[in-house]
Amino acid sequence: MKPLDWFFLVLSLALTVGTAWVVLAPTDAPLRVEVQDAGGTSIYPLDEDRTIEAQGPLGITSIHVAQNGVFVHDSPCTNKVCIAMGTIRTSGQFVACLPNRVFVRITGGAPSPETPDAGVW
Amino acid sequence: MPGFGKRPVRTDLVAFFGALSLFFATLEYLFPKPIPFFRLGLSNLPLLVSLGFFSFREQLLLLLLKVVGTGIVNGTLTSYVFLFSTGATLASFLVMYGLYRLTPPRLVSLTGISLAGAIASNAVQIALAMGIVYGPASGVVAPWYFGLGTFTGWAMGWGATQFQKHSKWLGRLRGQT
Amino acid sequence: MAKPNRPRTDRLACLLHPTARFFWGLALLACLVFAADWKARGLLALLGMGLALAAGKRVSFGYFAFLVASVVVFNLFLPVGRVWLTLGPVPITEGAFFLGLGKGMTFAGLVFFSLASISRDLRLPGRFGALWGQTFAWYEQLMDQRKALKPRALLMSIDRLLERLYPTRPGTEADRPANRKPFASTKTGFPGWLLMGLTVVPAALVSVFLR
Repeated sequence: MKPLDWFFLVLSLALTVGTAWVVLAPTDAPLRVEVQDAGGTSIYPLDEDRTIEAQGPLGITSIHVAQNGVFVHDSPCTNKVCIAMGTIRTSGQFVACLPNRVFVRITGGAPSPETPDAGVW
Repeated sequence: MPGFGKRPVRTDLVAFFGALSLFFATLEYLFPKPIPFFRLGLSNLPLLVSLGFFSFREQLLLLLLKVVGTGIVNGTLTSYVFLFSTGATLASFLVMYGLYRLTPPRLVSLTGISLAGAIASNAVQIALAMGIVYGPASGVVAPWYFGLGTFTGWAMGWGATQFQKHSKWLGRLRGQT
Repeated sequence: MAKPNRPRTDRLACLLHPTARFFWGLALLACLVFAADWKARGLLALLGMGLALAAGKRVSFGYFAFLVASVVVFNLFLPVGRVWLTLGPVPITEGAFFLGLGKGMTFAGLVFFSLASISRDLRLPGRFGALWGQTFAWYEQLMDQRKALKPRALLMSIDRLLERLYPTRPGTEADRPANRKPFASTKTGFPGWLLMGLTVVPAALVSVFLR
């Protein structure tokens, strides 16, 4: 075999090992929006804009995912505290509509030091 | 060494090599594949072997015949398989042809050229699989593609070298061209 | 003793001209690509499978089931929608499942419609078309004589086959592909037009209205 034959052989083997390394390396999971409502749990990517309708005993809570943030746009509860909680953007943050039993949080990524270690809903 | 299109295209010879490529592609189509979309590269053998005596235009025509012909013969012309085949073959050809023309023979043989072509072909196929068919999660097949590609690239190059060395038919053909 | 494989008949070849058949396939492909719902894509893929079988093509159900399943599996790694269950760290979601199913059905359908509509007698235009004609003639001869290849003496048998088809010895002449009989081509008659109408119109309706 000639010099460049060896070069391409080594390059091909290096790509094999390198891509295996990348594939197997532990990485932070992408940021996701997790919504719990009367129907169960739903998951959506945080980086795709969408409107989520969560069903609760009082009606539909409308949740918007936009510009890598999540906020409650509208809810049938009386005090609208969930709307006032504003936009959440980092892993561990949450917004809840207690009267309508809707819970929204961001999961994945590296956990922020401010977020609680566990939560019970 | 053949130039860049100054001589008329030898259509009969290009057609014959195109047919050889199709023939090997048909044989390859019948082999069970260890992972989806993975190609052994048998149909590249005529492309490799003809590097020495086809002009760029003739090589390009051969490539077109291989890609379009395989699509027609296997009935996959209007499917995503054709997209994979075209992308992979084009990338492989550009790398192999460039390497053959720009590198002195003492530095690289058909084995190295075939390995380089296999790397390019597999990189394009992985990109297409991740970008169009399976999504980003399919990057997990990359180590398999490159690993198997190392073996098949070396094997095809070795096979082409042996054929060049020992084929009396090819020897007479090269003497006439 | 194994039963010999039955030769597969291309039932569409006697109904459709290869060029009409090609454009018919493109129309069906368009219906598939523009279908929004996975159910519509699934129906169209089934139609494609039927047509591919009618074209005498060998359809491996295992292969296509694996293709669809693998597209679904890779899509499940990007969870979207209602969580059905969690397998280890991977939540299996409704949205990702049906997205993957739709995609898988699309890719399978593309292959089926292609198998059904691409005939080996398809004529390509211009000088490239003439070159393709020559190539196909050689290809048919190679396929006819493929049994001459012996694995135990592979190089020698390849050499002999190549010399037989494209002689290089001084004083010999090649069997020119110009002697090949012209491409056979059926005219598209009423049954062919009926077939095209009965497949494209429902496919378009399914694509547009099944959402």
